[in-house]
Amino acid sequence: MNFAIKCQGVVKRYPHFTLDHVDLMVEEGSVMGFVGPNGAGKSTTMRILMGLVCQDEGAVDVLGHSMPAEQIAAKRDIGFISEDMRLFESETIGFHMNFFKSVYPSWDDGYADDLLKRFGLIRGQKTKGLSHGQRVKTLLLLVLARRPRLLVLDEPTTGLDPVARREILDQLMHIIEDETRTILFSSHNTLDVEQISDSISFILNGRIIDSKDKETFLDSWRRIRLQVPEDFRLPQHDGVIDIKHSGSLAVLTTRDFTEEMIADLKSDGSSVQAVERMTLEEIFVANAQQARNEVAS
Amino acid sequence: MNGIVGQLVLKDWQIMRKYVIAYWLGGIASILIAIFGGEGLGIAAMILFVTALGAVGIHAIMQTIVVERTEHKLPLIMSLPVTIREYTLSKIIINLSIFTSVWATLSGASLVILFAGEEGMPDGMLPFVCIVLVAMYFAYTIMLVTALVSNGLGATIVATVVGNIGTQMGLWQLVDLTGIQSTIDGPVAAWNSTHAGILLVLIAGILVLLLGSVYLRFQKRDVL
Repeated sequence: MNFAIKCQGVVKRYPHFTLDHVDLMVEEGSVMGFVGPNGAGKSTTMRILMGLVCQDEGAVDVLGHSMPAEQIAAKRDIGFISEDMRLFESETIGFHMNFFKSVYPSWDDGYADDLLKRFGLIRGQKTKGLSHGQRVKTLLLLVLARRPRLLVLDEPTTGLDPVARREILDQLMHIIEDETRTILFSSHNTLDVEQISDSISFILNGRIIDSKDKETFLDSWRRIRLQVPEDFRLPQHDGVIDIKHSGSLAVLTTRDFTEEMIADLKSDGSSVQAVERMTLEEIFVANAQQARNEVAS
Repeated sequence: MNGIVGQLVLKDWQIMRKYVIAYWLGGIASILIAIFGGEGLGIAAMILFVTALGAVGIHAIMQTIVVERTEHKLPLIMSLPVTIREYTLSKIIINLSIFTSVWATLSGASLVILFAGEEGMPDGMLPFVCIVLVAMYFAYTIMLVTALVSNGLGATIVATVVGNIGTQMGLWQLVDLTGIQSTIDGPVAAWNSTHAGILLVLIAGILVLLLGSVYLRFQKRDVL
């Protein structure tokens, strides 16, 4: 299996935050969603991947290049967008396109013009007057028109209106059709991540708390609503991370759901009212809660 | 200059060129006023000259270094195949090129105007005026290296103020030196060891500041 990104034991210490032994593997040609709340370490991880920040410990390999030492070679094939990235306000979109074209021999004029039309952008427009959505589209154009092998997108859809968000996601879906491209996509909007990702990593307080392919996440997490007899003691099951009990009703959250579990619960005398699939957001929140509980205990 | 450094320099030049031309024209205007405006407009010409020279340096530093960081253009640039060393070199090249071209043009023109002909200043002042012009370059270098090393708006403003006030105070002190006093009103430009020593210290200071800033920047491990 080839990996576009391999992070092993990556540590970065700041006075008030530590990225704590992060392991992150992204398969070539796949889309990984990188989910975490603000300040969890998503941007720091992505900056380390780009060689913009140097890790204190651990090994980082991007497209076969050790980072940050071989960042020049790696960055030729990486397209990076971050939420706080800004364009030169006194200049036009065309100025930026020409500048990027001068840096990247792989720049594709035809594709760039196609993206201009598709995004409704005007080459001669000054970037000062662009809306947030137009700015993100311009950045995406600058990144895509040079056809990078890896896209590192740090919260690209944050703050966008629903229409602009849809356009950006559609374009990313279009890119995914080319199975040689790899995308690492961070967001705290789990709905966006759920739509385009093959695998998902959750990060919280500088630690990766879970990392799996999307289907495994969605298939293995369940919320089970039970009616139980009074004084009933719920049996212990591996993977059960939360039990809420109120009178004769109980809600059980598991990260390791199997049909046998239902059979066990029934044989123990409880009545299963519903078995609910969980959204990625619910899975993340439950995962984060469990990680916090583990730290607290 | 390798390819990416050249592209970064060209990009900054394209952004700055209209302002540089405006400051250059302002400086030329100050010289024309000095020539044709008569004695009454001499002070105005001098103010315009100093303003044009100071402003071009400050504007270029702010636009190409400080604003690039404070207004989040640095992530865009550093996502390109460029290292912190190449980025630093590009900033030094563009800023020194812009300032040096305007400084050299205006300094040369002002020396000709001040000292050419019968009605100009006494030639004895020439060494001290040269010291003043090099001191202006020194003050500019303090601004440039502070911006390069700190990337901060506050530190660069403080360096601008301290550099300019310090240079002016320093020049006032220099005027009182015997080696300067003894020649300043003379009919010929009499260079002595005091003039040479001051110029040497200023030029060495400029080089040390530039090399020191490059060294410090090259030690940085984190760009953002």
